[in-house]
Amino acid sequence: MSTRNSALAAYRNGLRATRVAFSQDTRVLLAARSQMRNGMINPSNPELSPQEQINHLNEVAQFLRRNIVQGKRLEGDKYALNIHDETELGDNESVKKAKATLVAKGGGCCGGGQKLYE
Amino acid sequence: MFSSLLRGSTIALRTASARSALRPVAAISRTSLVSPLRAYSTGLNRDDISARVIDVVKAFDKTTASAQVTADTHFAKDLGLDSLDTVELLVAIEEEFDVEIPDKVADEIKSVAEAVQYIASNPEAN
Repeated sequence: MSTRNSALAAYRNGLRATRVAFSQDTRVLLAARSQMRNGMINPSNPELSPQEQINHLNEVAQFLRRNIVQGKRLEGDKYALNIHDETELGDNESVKKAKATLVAKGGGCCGGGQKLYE
Repeated sequence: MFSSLLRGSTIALRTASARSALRPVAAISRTSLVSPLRAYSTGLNRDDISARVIDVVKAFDKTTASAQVTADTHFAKDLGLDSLDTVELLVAIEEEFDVEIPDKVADEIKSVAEAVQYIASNPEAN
C-alpha cells in the first residue's frame, strides 16, 4: 500500500476510534476529529518520517479504543462508565503468582546469587 | 454426549449473563444509540439508500455551498472535496448505515453513486 493510502487508512481508523471512545459526548467527539484533521495537515512532530507519523496515528487510535473510558455523573457521587467491547479489561491473576525469591533459589549474597539467573 | 453438549451451553449462558450483569451501563448506552425505526430493516430500498446518502453529503460541513447533490455527484470533481474530506464523508456514511467499509473498497468510492452501490451490496447495512 502506498504511503498516501496508508495515511488515509490511518486517518479513517482514527476517526472510527473517536466514535468508539466519545460516542456519548458530541463536543469532545468533534474536538477530537478536528484535532485529528489538524494533525494530518500540520503534524505535531514534523521531524518524524511519514511512516512514523502513520504509526503514531494508528497508536493514538488504538489508545482511544482501548484505554479511554468516559464517565457521566448520574447523581451524587455515582458515575456511569462507558465501558464498551474494545475497552482493555485487565485481570489481577498475575499478582497471585509467587515470584521466586533469592532465598528460594538457594541464598543471597557472597556468591549465593550464582543461580539467580537460571 | 448430548447431555454434555447441553451442560456446555448452560455454562456459556451463565457466563454471558454474568458478564452483562457486570456492565449494565455499557449495555444501556449501546442500545440507546440504535434508532428503533431502523432496527430490523433487511434489504434496503435503493432509492432510500440514495436519499440517505445524499442527506449525509448535504449535512457534511464543507458541502453547504454547493447544495446541488444528486445521485451522480462526484465527491472531488463536483464538491471539491480533498482526500481527507472524502475519508471524513465516508466515515459519516458508515455511521449512517452502521457498517464498516473495508479500506480497499473505501479507497475506490469517489461518488454518491459508488457509495450507494456499496451500501446496496452490503447485507449488514441498515
